[in-house]
Amino acid sequence: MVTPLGRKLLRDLASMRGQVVTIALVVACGIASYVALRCAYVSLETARDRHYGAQRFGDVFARLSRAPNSVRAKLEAIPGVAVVETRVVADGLMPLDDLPEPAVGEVVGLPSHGEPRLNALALRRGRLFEPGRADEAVVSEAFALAHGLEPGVATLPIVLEGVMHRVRVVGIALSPEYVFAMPAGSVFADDKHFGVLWMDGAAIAPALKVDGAFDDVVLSLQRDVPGAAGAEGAGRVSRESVLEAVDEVLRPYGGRPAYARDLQPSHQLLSSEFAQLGQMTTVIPAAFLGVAAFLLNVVLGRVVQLQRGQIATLKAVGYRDREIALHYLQMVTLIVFFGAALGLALGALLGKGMLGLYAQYYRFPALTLQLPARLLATAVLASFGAGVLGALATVRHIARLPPAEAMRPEAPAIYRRSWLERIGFARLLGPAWWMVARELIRRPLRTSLSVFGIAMSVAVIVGARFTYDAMDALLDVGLLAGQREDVTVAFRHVVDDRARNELAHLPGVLAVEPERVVPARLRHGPRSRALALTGRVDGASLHRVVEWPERVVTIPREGIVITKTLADRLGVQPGDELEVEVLEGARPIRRLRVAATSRELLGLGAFVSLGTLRAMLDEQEGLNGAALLVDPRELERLDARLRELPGVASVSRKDAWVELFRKQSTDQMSTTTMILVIFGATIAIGVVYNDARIAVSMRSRDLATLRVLGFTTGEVAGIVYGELATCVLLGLAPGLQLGSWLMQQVFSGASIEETFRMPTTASPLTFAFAVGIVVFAAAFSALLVRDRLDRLDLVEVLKARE
Amino acid sequence: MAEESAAAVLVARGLTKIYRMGEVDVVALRGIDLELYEGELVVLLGASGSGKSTLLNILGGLDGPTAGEVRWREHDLSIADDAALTSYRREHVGFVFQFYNLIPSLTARENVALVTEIADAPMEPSEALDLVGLGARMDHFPSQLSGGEQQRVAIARAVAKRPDLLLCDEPTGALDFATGRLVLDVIAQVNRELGTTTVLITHNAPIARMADRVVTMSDGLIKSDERNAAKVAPEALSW
Repeated sequence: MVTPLGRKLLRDLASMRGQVVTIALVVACGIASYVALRCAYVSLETARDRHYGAQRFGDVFARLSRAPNSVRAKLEAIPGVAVVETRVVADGLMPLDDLPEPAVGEVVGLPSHGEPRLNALALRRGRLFEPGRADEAVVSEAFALAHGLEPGVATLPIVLEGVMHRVRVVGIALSPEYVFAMPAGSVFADDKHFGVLWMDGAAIAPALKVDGAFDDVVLSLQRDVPGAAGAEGAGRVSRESVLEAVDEVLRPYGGRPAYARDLQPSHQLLSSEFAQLGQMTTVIPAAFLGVAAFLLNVVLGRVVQLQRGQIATLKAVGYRDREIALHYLQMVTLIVFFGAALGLALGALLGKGMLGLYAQYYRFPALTLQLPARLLATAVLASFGAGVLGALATVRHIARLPPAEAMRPEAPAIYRRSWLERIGFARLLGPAWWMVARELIRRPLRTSLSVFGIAMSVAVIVGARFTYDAMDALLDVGLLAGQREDVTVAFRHVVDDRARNELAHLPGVLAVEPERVVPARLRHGPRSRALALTGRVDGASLHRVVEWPERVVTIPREGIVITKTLADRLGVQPGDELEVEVLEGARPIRRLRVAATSRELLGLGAFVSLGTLRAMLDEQEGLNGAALLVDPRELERLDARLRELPGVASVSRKDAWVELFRKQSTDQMSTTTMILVIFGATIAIGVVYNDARIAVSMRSRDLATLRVLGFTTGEVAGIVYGELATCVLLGLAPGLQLGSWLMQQVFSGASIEETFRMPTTASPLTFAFAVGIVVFAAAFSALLVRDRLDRLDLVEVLKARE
Repeated sequence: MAEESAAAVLVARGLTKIYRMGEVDVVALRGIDLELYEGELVVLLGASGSGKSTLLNILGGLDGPTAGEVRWREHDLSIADDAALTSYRREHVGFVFQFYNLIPSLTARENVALVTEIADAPMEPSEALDLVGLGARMDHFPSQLSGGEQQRVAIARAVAKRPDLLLCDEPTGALDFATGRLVLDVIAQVNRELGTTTVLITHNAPIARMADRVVTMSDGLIKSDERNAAKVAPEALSW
């Protein structure tokens, strides 16, 4: 049976439904964003960990030229190594009927029985290849889907070592190595142009000319090997010591630096994405719950003020303070409950949607939405916590309200001349503005909370739109400003300078800029990092180092330029010396002075002049890549010619990757952005609508008096709107700041900075967009109360106050 | 008064009350001595601002005195804490206010149930409403009732818990003459039939004729305290 107080509660809520709904929506946004982000995060992590576990993803990876199979035993003997899997991996071009340019196929050799001890396959459809068959392949799922390949039906042409082969697609599979599948050297998933073909390694070795040898290593570490860098003690086994030992073993065989899982391309990208998601799960929901707490505080405060008489009556008839306090606390709890229920449902829905987006790029055998009960409970508890926090002051006020005092009308509110008036500012404005200013100044806490709420709303929208700015900046400054070529060519081996002339004479080529890229390890004290060291010609104008905000960093003849992120990792500053070890050929070691660091938006990089690099390598000439400026009319023809050249490993067209970048970032951002914009607008509506309702109900007497004195409804509305507009205006600027700051929190963190850095400022367009949305939402909510202002009951309001 | 046969249930000695209203100090009571006896109907007469509502609030445990002492039977209310005052109101006192103070979101019956919920041996809400002649309008909301009807609901709410003390603050203040007389009739009836000690505040001198005793207040002091030899029924009143 519902008690009389229970009935009062329900009817009070029904009568203030506009406010109940707007606040519940803010709570719902907070919970929904938390549940969606957090559940997506947990689900992705679970899917990843299960995939890694079930398919035995390796811990350490290394490429080399080729080594006889007997070397495997040496790798197995390295202390700390658990399992070693050696294999052949080779790229081949696949001229496909449904593509104008050939796709890249990465052939990965597996044991004949198809079950490697590391990096195993999760077979999705079809079957594994028959042992000994060199013409059967299991194909990566994303590529198969992009081309509609049916196992058992489809065949693929692939050029390996200059010979065209036809392989039959017998199965479709996933691998932990290719959760995010991208060609070597790229950061874009390109399912149409890149596929993995798992084949019987022994059967295809002759075709790849690596019979009895391997050129790729995956190994796992024993469980007790500490993974942390720098954990290395004298004689102790660590991940770092294993890496060094692997390098040592593979050095005679053209080994490239071994790297641990955190630098494995697919895993690194996942980690960066997960880290962003993880940080968003705390930043964004906290903003909403903060606003919800403030709204509940303000609204409950007003309800209590309006119900002073009722509270007094309840006390007079013998209700205890805590019974009455509980009654009002229940009001808050119910509002939060509505919000929480809606938020949980919405959050689950959004979480599912987010996973759908992720599933387009990240291929897991099983990516299902996890809704851990503990996580949901945390969300609900956090929102109740915020609600109770918001209500606490008011509830304490209720308990302290002496019944006899509550029975009397409130003493006139104390207004004072504000400092604005004292300095004479107010004389410039009319009395209506004095009312506005005094009201705002008299309640500094409420005013600042309203301003804070608006700021949060602006911040969330700036944050949402900021991602576009970041992507634009990444593209414009991080990529386009530094890469002004039309086509980049990579050669399979180092070629001499004649290649430069040959390229220059190809049809449509307007300029050629040769490059020499070598694997290298940079050391500074105990810290080191292996990466690609790029040598560029003096005065290079196609490939340049460009930092943010846009500025070209010149590569000097002497010394080395490294990205700021790398400099921070190594703990060096311009002027310091670095030890640079080239990890191929004679492995020369030189000391180079850091000439400059560049705040590049993308990744880690190190650059020297071609002269410096050649001096280090003791080469007179030699290049393994080139940037080409091409007459656009000849682009297609040139592309085809380049791909036919035997020495060319890859051809990368700028127009293609720019399109991929745009598509990839738009796919991932548009939905999230739209949802966050809606959520941000919900906060603005929640704040302004509740402020407006409170202004009208608490001051209806004053406003009605003004009407009696001859003010028009428009003038009276102007006073209320003046207050609201002032709060909104005051909240805009801090909101813009807060938004930029929030996003920097989301995008900060080591694993993210390895792949890209966020530019530090949002664009004017984003600011204008956020301001526009918030002002519109505010105007809309203010208009919702206009009706109440026009209907002020002049006679009733001026009668004795109950 | 010395020859009162009944026992004094409520005794006030030297009550003083000073309020701070906004930025002004207001002295409402300047040393009041008063006894209330079991079953009597006392009318507290005085002009607006004479301190009678303040006195009533202190007698009803809604407020504490700045100085002085109030005793309800053996309990000293002037030193009672909030919880003790709440229990006192809950168990012993019924209030009727000038502006009824009904909860607008509750029906007549629910407003009465609000009190019967928390009382020890209350009447049924319907019984209390029957007593004030509103048995037929139990499910109406305050906004659907006339002023007199609302005040009678308030009386039903006050008496439903069978209080020892019924305190009425200007119960007819917001009502027209005929309605006011009806309300006073209900109060007199409760006093007579239930034997509830009743204090009725008014600024309206003719109402004093229905009292057993008339206490007159002015400027925070008791000016006179007289037994009313010629008590009349409320129907006979006119003002």
